[in-house]
Amino acid sequence: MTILLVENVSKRFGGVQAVAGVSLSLAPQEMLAVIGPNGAGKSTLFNLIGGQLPPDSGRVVIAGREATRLPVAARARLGMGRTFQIAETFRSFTAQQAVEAALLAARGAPFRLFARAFGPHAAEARALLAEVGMEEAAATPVSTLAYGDVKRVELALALAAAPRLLLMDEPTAGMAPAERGALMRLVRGLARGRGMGVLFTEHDMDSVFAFADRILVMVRGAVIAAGAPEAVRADPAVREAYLGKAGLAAALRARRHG
Amino acid sequence: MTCLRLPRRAALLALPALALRPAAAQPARGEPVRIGELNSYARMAAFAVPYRNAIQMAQEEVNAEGGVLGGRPLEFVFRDDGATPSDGARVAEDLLTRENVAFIAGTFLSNVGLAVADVAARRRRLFLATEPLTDALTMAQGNPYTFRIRPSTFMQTRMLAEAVRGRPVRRWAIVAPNYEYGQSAAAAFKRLIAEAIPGAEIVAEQYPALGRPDAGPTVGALSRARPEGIFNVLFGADLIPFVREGQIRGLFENRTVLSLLTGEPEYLLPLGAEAPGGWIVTGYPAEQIELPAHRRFFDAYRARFQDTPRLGSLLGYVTVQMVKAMLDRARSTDTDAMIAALRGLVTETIVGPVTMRVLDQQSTLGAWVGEIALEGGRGVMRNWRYEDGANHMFPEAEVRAARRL
Amino acid sequence: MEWGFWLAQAVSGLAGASALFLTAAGLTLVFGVCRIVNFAHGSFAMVGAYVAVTLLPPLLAWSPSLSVFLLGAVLSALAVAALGAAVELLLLRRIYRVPELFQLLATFGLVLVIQDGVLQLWGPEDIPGPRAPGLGHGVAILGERIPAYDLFLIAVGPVVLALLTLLLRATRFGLLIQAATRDREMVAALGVNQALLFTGVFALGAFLAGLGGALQVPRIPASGGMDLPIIAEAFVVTVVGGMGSVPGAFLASVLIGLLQAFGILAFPKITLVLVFLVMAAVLMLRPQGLLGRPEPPARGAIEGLAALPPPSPPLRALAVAAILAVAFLSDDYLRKVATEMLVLAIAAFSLGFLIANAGIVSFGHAAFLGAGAYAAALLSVRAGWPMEAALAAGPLFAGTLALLFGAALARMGGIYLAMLTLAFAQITHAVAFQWVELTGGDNGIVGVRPAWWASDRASYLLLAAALVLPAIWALRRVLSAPFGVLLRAARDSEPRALALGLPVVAMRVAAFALAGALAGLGGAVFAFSRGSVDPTLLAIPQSVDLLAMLLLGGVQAVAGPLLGAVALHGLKDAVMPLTDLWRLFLGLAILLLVLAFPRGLAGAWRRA
Ligand SMILES: Nc1ncnc2c1ncn2[C@@H]1O[C@H](COP(=O)(O)OP(=O)(O)OP(=O)(O)O)[C@@H](O)[C@H]1O
Ligand SMILES: [Mg+2]
Repeated sequence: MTILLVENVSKRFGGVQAVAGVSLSLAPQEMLAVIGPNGAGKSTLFNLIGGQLPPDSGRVVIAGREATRLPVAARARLGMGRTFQIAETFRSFTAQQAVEAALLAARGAPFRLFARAFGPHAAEARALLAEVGMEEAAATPVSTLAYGDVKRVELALALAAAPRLLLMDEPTAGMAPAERGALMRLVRGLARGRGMGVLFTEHDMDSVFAFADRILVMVRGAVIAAGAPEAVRADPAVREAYLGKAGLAAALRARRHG
Repeated sequence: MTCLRLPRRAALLALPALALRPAAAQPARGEPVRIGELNSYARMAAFAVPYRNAIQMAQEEVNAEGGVLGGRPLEFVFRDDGATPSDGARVAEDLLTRENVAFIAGTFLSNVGLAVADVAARRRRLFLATEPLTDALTMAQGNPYTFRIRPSTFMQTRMLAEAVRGRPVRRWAIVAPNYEYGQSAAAAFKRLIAEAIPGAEIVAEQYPALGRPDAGPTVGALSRARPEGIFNVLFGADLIPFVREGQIRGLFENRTVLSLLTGEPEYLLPLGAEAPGGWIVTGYPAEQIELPAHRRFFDAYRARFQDTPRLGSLLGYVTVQMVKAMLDRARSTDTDAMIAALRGLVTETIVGPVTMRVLDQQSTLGAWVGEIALEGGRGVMRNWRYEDGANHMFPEAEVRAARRL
Repeated sequence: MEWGFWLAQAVSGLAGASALFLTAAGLTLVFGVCRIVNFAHGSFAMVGAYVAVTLLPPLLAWSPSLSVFLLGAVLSALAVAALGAAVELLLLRRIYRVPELFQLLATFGLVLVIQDGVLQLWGPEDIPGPRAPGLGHGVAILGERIPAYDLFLIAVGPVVLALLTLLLRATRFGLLIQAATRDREMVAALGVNQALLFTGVFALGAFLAGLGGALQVPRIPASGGMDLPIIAEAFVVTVVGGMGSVPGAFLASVLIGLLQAFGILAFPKITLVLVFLVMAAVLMLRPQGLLGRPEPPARGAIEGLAALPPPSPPLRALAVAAILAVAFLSDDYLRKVATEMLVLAIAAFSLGFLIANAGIVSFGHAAFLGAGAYAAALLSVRAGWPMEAALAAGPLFAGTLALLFGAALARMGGIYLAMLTLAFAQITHAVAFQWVELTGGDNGIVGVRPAWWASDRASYLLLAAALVLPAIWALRRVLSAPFGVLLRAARDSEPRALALGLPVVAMRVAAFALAGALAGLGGAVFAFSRGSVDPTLLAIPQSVDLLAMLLLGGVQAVAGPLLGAVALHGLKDAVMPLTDLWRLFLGLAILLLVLAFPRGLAGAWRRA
């Protein structure tokens, strides 16, 4: 069974072919990483899957349902959640309130005019914050958090909807190395525990090679390699086209960890 | 045509109006009779300030001559009406509630006048509307508490239509500002010109937005219709560009042009040397009026303010004259008494007798109709005559229908 | 003949377009770089016209030539540029850090100050300018006499466009302007002296406005009322062209100029709304304007405006006590003023809900106030409905209207949304203004009377309070209910809200309808209090008043909009009887308040 099926999607911005005929599939419990140099088209691919952008061609199937033309909110209702490369959170809320709002949204009563918004989901929100390691900051306004913490709150917001499919665009950017591992471990635990499929991009090769079940390598919009971490690491095309000079060091470091 | 003429006796009964004779009486003393005056002093300063000047001048003269109601001084309390109906209505209530005024007077803009008239009706207090022109004030929206002094849109339009009665000018174009004043003037003109000139037709109408005076397209659209006559209702800042553009493009050549208000100094003076010669206008040729009382007023105003009186000044002065006549007749500041006194009141004003017609509570104050001529680098009215408002009022049957009497 | 006519008409339209372009180019540059929606831009053009009619006659008496005329126009524009620089240095510089809406408010204060300043300096009468030497005549083309000055103006537009393009492309100043228009942060990061850049751009914008005003004087007189029509059209041109885009402004000017020239042939009465119809149509099809860049929702407009917080009980007691005191212990006038304050408070509060919580900046909120007032007045006077029913119909009608507006608008964001609300409000205004048979036109409807039991001012005040205060408290409840909270969440991050599955557009439409209905309630209450309604209730100045009340009061506390309504209405009421110069004082008061309390009165209260 697949939770996400992407077939041959493409997207062009003026002269730039940002995504060129990418296909992939993702199973529940699976952690699939998309890597590639800056500008490779990773975020664009995520936006095509997430519904933030319409594809020029190709199709997207979420949980067995044709979703290519579905609006974002409808995809969310199919069980898709996501984080953004630049974190999207509720800046005027405290961390706790933000998660409560996300829970309210997920439980679907946006037009209730007189019920109390904060309170009913407080315990659940605290639990989610604890899961991402932010319980300390529950009462802190999101706008004053450090960027790494904002990303963690964002993950909590995405998780509030209990997604079956989670897209994460550079989830650990701005975090210390130790925190990165913890966060990725958490996500992997959820994936395995809840049967959630996870698609993520990451520039931190340590995280990628340590946590991905499979890796997809994009360069200039196209997939140049796909497969298990070991196979990708060994692929000469990848080493040449992507890892190149600067990336090589990271890959080597990753091997030591792996 | 039918207009209410009071019997001569009523005119004689009216108490002697104030004049500028040397003071013989004692100056007024005692508790003043306060009158709440509200007008658009900030927004419509060109009209309202000369008006206020004349009221102050007349008020001092009245008080020097013994005041009103047995020696009490007149005291006008001036307020800005904010030039919006909401502000106007509020200021009216302020005057009535807190300033202890006998009645309220004033307003310039028609919609402010109507809103204030509505306050008057609701509070059952007298409102003497001095300047607003809209016919609605004395017709469909008229109420028993509201009286108007200045000749209305209809009356002035009628004066112009009469001025060309029988002339062989059949094809008419209308240009009017895009709001009630312009539209009701246009509607009245359509009707009156058909009576005055058999076979007259309207071949073009243009309604530029107020304050957006891009005259070129308007002039183009009018001249395209090849009218023989043009009826203009534009005034103020909208008139100057229209006149310039029309003159450059020859719109007015060999055409009869009728124009409301253009002869009023407020609008004629700013036109300077570009005043459109030959236009037939309503207005106020202040320096040419030889009536002795008016001449005294003219000189006194000039001496005091170093400026020629505007139409606003005349209106302010006449207002005080009518107020004094009303109070003399009413003998009290009781609203009912004042209203009773105003109805049919004949005031001997500086421009002749003016009657407050009972039927629609509209005064018979007239206007001067003449031709604009260029003399000494500025426009003046020539071949003018005073058109008594009494001859141009709404027919009685129409008033009865509109006011549901 | 006909060809000549069409040509003459096109020339007129294009000449108007040129004049419009000059002013709009300045506005769009200032917006692009400083992100200031400068309400006083039309006032700058007006000052340019006044300086020109003062400067030109002596200059031309000395040497009547076209070059001297041009010199005079440029000198006038330079004078206005100096004024613009002074305004930037003394006023705007101090408030760049506060939310953009406060800057808008400050420039509106400036409009009032300049109006009275001009009246004092130049007197109340319109002053026609001299004709341009050598261009005062008509040129015969195809049997039509076309004003030579129009032909000259037509040339001026493209010349100024070319010069501006050169300036933007080939000078360091110009490149900085372009960079800043595209990305403000980047310029800041480049270590450019931003303060200097802003002053320069503001002076340049004022120069263009002044030039536009000065070059108009051979066509239209300098008059004290010219500022608002100019700014309204310049706004439209700027928005239609795409904010920040100079070529866009040119294109839009030409479009609007020609539409004006030819539109009036078919629809002579369309003059009032034509430009706003164009704006609405263009924005619906192309939300970023003709040549504008798609803009992210203008968070800047509200950044720093916290959302309205939940209720605080003491306020409730205080408000009730104050109203009871006025109802039983004061005079009828104060009762009327208090009723109006309640009306304005609910309107400002609902606007605050829309702006601060839903992130929808509306420049046309008075449309709903007016719609409620008209519905109540029409049903009461024309259909003979009892007051109670008419009062109920006001919010229903206004809410429905808002629902329709919202449905058309809710997908848009930022400044373009704000401008579209303005256009819709103007169109509503035009309907009230021109549907004379129904609405009485600008004369409005009079004779709106409350029921017998509410006809004295004290009872009516209590009735108004009984309607308005619960509505305010209900809306406060909504703020802390799921709807209000999620609306604010969507304001903070639309992508996040959507990714969580929220029907953001539907929620915004609902917010619009709710805010519109509440403003409509205020309007209905107002109709019976004033006794009459007229189109000024839904005109731009009324919308600005509401915005001013909201911002002066501040949105940090629920009390803010209420305090703002009371303060501004009270201030106007106190100042107007004192002096003819009340606009000056009101304007200065707004400027001082913005400078002293850039977070609103309630914000200051809280800190104290
Ligand atoms: N909205 C857009 N308009 C135009 N071009 C875009 C747009 N979004 C992305 N691009 C271009 O598409 C290409 C792919 O960009 P994308 O953001 O998807 O890359 P990425 O792999 O996520 O890079 P990074 O690792 O830096 O996040 C880039 O060349 C980018 O400039
Ligand atoms: Mg990316």
